[in-house]
Amino acid sequence: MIEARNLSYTYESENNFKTSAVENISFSVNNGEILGILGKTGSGKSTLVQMLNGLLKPLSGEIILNGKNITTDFKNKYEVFSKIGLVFQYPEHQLFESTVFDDIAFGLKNQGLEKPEIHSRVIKIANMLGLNENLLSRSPLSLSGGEKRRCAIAGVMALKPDVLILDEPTAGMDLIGKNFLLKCLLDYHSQEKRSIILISHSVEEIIEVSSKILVLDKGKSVYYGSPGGLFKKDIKYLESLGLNPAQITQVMSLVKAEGYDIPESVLTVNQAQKEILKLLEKDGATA
Amino acid sequence: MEKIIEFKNVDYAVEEQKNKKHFILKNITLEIKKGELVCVIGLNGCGKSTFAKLLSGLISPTSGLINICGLNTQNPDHSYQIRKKVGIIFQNPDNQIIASTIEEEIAFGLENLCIPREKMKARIKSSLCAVGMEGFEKKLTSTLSGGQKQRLNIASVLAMQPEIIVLDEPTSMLDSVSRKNILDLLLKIKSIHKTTIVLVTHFMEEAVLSNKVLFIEDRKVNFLGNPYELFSDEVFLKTPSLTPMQSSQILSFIKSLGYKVSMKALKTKDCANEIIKILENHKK
Ligand SMILES: Nc1ncnc2c1ncn2[C@@H]1O[C@H](COP(=O)(O)OP(=O)(O)OP(=O)(O)O)[C@@H](O)[C@H]1O
Ligand SMILES: Nc1ncnc2c1ncn2[C@@H]1O[C@H](COP(=O)(O)OP(=O)(O)O)[C@@H](O)[C@H]1O
Ligand SMILES: [Mg+2]
Ligand SMILES: [Mg+2]
Repeated sequence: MIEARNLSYTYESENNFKTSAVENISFSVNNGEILGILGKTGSGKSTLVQMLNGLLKPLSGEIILNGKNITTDFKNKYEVFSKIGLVFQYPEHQLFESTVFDDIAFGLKNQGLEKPEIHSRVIKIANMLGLNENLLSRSPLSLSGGEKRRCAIAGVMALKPDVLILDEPTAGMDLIGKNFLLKCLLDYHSQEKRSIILISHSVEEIIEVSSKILVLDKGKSVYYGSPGGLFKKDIKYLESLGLNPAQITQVMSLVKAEGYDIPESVLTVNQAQKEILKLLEKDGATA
Repeated sequence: MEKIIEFKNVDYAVEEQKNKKHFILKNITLEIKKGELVCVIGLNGCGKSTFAKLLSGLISPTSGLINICGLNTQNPDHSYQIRKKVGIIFQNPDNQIIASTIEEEIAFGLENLCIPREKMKARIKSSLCAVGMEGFEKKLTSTLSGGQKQRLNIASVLAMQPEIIVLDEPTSMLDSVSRKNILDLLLKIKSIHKTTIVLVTHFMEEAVLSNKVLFIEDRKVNFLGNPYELFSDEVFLKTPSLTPMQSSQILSFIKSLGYKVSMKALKTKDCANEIIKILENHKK
């Protein structure tokens, strides 16, 4: 389990220009939990997760991993890196080997695994993420945007870190790829009982997979709690946080405004189908 | 309307192994008219970015012909002209940013077009304003968040006032509110300047606002035409490589129950009205 206590971070540039990117954020993710992080662009999400895996040193606050304070105990930096895996917002930033295979295998080699073990793990994870085997011998630079992203995710997931952090992993993925990845994450999560932290702009996606949600606005935490609770808030307020509800939610709230008996926020198409069926069945049989 | 982009039997292939050609796009023939907003959709790896690069003259077809504003992209004498006419925003916002401050970044493109210094300031200001980054001139590009970088790239291209703007997934890292703002901005530019816009996207709610969608599948153009036609077509709705809009999903569900439904009510308001109409008729 990972716990963040009062984390803050301020960027300082040459001309002493200071940007406070993260202010006093606390949360915890138990083993087997998925924390979803939402917030406008520039709200501090990437900064926050870079502190978690030791890439940025917090200005103040603490990070506790499995009971150990990893902010003060920097001796084990490599240990931290291997236990907390971060997939960057820009997949290019972590692709530097000459073939896709070597890229995915990079971390595994560092862990000193045997060649056949590395080979089978790479093939397995590549398959799981829908990366065609004939891509593996190509240069990562020749991949399409979505393929690059899968490659970066594969490299981190192969390591099976205690805490897996993904910074906007579904950006630029097609629907099939997105659903695939989310399913992979859920499978991984139920098999391995690890903690996952997922950043996304897709409210539907976060709701679907997260046990808890953290919403950032201008570096501050403005919501920390259950997915359902967030949607009890006013739509205008959610919009001000950059969180437009999904189209189906908007459609159903317009229908509700006409006086139909529909719950406050209908979040998925499935749920909408059920609600409409109920309304149609109310007055006798369907057409 | 005059055609501004023309592809004739265009192939693009790479050599995967020695003497083994791998086709990324095959036999593409199409026309795009001046002032249209065309959305390019399709699965990861289907060739959208390749199409965008061909269209901007950054890569040349391995066979066939591409004309932009009547200029053949393969003729090196045309490359300066084409660069002036076509502004492209790449998929990865980092690849595009070179300068250290935002002002310099936008000025860089303008210098290439020989825009006089006095005029630059105003253009920089108005293009930053257009993307909601007014007052960011002196900020360092290295300090921007992912979404801010995407907006900066759009501002740089806007400042150059090109005839065609090609955007490769420009909003993939934006929150949904900023994403809507960018789309509104593109629609505004289109209507004011009659700019032709080619937008690669995975968001169908963006595609439905376009004049035409170009759906690439299996290396070929599977569909080029009105988005309503595509998204209300039962066959296309069942194609796994097409992401249906939530509105069309719910409408097709209601239709499957035996109700008469207009599958063209794809926009949020239209869809809600269609559902309300059905519920009301049902009450009677
Ligand atoms: N040098 C190359 N050798 C072999 N295949 C290549 C090469 N360059 C690109 N490709 C392949 O061509 C296909 C099309 O790439 P492109 O970048 O145009 O896809 P895309 O539609 O933009 O995908 P995405 O949605 O993931 O960005 C991909 O499968 C890619 O792997
Ligand atoms: N290297 C940096 N130097 C200075 N400021 C930065 C740097 N990286 C990010 N910032 C600023 O910190 C804030 C938060 O950025 P980021 O964590 O990337 O946000 P998000 O991931 O939510 O989009 C933004 O205002 C951004 O401009
Ligand atoms: Mg970020
Ligand atoms: Mg692409």
